[in-house]
Amino acid sequence: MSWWHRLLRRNLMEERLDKELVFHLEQHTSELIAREHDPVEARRLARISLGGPEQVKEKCRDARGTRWAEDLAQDFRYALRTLRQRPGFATVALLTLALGTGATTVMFTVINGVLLKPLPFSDPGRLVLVQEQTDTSTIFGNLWAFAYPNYLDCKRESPL
Amino acid sequence: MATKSDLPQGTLDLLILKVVALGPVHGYAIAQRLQQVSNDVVQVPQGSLYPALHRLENRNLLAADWKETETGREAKFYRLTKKGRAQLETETASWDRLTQAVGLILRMSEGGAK
Repeated sequence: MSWWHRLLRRNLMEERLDKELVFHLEQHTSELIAREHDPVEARRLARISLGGPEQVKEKCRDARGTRWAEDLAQDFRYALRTLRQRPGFATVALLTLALGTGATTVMFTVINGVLLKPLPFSDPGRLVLVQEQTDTSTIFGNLWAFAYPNYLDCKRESPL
Repeated sequence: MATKSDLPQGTLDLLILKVVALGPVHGYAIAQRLQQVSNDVVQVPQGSLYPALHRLENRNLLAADWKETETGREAKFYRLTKKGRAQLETETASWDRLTQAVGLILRMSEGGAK
């Protein structure tokens, strides 16, 4: 039986485990009775030599190798149940998560667009900012935006 | 009668593999056989027998089928897989080596320690 089988057919596994241990106890008991033990006493002795049935079963379940998945599912169900019992807490927790995720996504999107992605030109390292400088300053300073016609003039007179 | 000894750790698996190698058996018969063959010297911890069987089955060293016993009851019969047989051989060999070495050390004479 594969790991998946053992996990999904849990009830069958439990049933078989129980059957196996019951078989063991009954065999041992009947053998003790055959050796002239009192039936009640025989049953008691058989139980003692096997040990606590739940402890043995627990160890067998551990040996099955599906324990972590079963425990995970159980924890998950428990979490859902608890959340359903306290809708207020659940709402707050959910909102906190939603807002947190949302804000982080927005921040990343902005930073990615503005800082991380290169500019959509073939050689962004060679981009220059051109400004005009006047001799006199106003309250805005003496650096001015470069007018488009001026750019056209420069382009026409440039040797390149 | 000699006092019963506990099994050294890790030997239960080896003993189970050996018993199962002789033919398909159910858990109770394994416990019985171990007790009988060892002349009641080895205390087979029945509580650890089933977890060990399930562990070995899980590791594909043993396989199990539900079959009827001679008394007509359904029981889980274990048998050795190919992998289990190989494991039994390697573990038997390493057990032999270990016990020989321990025996040599224990029988070391006074002069031999020089």
